[in-house]
Amino acid sequence: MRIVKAKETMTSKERVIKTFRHEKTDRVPIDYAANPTIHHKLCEALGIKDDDFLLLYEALGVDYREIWPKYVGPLIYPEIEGCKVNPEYGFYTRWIANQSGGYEDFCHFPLKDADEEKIRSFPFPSPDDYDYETALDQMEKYKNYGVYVGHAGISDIINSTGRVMGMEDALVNLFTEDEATLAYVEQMLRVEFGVMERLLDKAKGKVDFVFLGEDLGTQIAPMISMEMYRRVIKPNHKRFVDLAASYNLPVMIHTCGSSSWAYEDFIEIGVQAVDTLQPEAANMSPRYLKDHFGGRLSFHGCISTTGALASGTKEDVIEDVKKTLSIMMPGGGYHFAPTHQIQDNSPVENVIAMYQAAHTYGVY
Amino acid sequence: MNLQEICTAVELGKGKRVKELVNQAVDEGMSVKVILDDGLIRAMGIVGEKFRLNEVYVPEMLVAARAMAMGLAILEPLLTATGVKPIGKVVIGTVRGDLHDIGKNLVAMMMKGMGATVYDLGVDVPDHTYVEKAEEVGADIICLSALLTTTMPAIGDVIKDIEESGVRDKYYIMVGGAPVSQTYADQVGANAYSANASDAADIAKKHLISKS
Repeated sequence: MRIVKAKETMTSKERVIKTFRHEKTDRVPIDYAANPTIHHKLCEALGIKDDDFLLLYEALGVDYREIWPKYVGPLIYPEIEGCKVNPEYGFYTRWIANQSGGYEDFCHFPLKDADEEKIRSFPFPSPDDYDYETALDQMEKYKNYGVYVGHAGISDIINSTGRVMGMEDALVNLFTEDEATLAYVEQMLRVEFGVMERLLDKAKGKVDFVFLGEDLGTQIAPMISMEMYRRVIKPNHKRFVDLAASYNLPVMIHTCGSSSWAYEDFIEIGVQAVDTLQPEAANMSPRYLKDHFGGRLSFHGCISTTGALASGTKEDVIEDVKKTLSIMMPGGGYHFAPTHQIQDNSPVENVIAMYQAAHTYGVY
Repeated sequence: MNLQEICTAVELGKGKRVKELVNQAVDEGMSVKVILDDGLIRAMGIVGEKFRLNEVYVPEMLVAARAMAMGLAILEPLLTATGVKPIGKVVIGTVRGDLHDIGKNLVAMMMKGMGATVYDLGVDVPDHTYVEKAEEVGADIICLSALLTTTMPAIGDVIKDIEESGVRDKYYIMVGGAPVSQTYADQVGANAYSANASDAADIAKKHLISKS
């Protein structure tokens, strides 16, 4: 089985850059993210060996390539039995299976119920200890693609604090502006900023945009108040957006859930694109987003991972894609993508139908 | 002292102040049940309503609930001593394969806040543990939470397990979590679905009052 791709008249890089600028392209640029089990099934179905990501990207027509240098310094966090420690941030995960597949999910919180001394003594890596050379080699290899620096965890405060102290402690401590927690956040962001600055400096001209993240919504409402966002989070986001701007790079920000309430503030600090865009979340439908922010933000996502893709028929998926494209494509500025990782409970024929529909109906 | 001060301190999440005021009220001889109902429970009801209306958000709920818990910790032994009973017993947990708990914890806090005793089983709870615990403590309500579409089917499995244990009619089963809906709740035979912690507490309270 294979995807029949739309005729292309430009490189992936051109397609992505033009989409940021709301300029006409040959087709919508396409992105991909998936849980491991569905990724494997998709590779099998499309005859891709060894679950090879780059071969799959070619098969689907994926236009984006993520770059973040690998941490290669010493392990500064203790190992814990039954958990895998992330050497860059010191959070702990374990594989937890479910009926469809599973996740690497957080299983131990080193700063939960921690006192001030423990929070303040949490170690951090150095920006010196990242492999910038390999990252630069990848940029060269991906020169015809939409190359971005960063990922959904960069500049992120709520999740990043939550994964070491638990979400409850994180939200309470950020809300009350607990000094030790804010010092933790400051240190963590300093490392990320340092890495990004170093990489952007070395990579002049080879990067197309910067990707940041912060989950600001529940399914039905903002996660936090506007006041708390402006007080605790926005000034930190702005530092990263300003860094990107100093290299003339647009910024895309990933925010899960009902998060359009923050988009005017995003626009104000210079963010140019937003990601996830779960249509089932409040005030996040394609129509709502296009009406309120079309032409001022470009949109990455919109194809729900919990809707037709997971629980509908192939025909439902095609309808969903067609409807989304009909709203999002006029005027440009739409990056075709699932709202998050395609879930393991999605029938593989639905995923194939989704990407085929992008090529069939996503042509300008 | 007046109870409004306790109420306000809970709403604002001022835990230390709540402790001081609750101790003061107890020392002044105020009825423990009155402090609980008109100080702590009323405050959580107000916060819960504001949360439902998107006037406050998850952090405000959490700080208020923690402040309430600090006051409740002082009152609980006194309530037991004076023979005041909780309005019901709730067993709650996040289903097998799911480690997410903030929504479930908010529901547990609101359930406590409306006067129930809550037995929190935590996360990744095996199917049969719910009915085991419910039988052990003589629960009235079982609450099942799932955050992921991929773990949501476990809700149906738990309800089936309770049916197969022959005690389905003993328990009022409530379900919730981001992917859950009224449609799904109906499909799996739950008694109630709620979209947020405040509604969950209201539904539970109505059920417990109607039962008593």
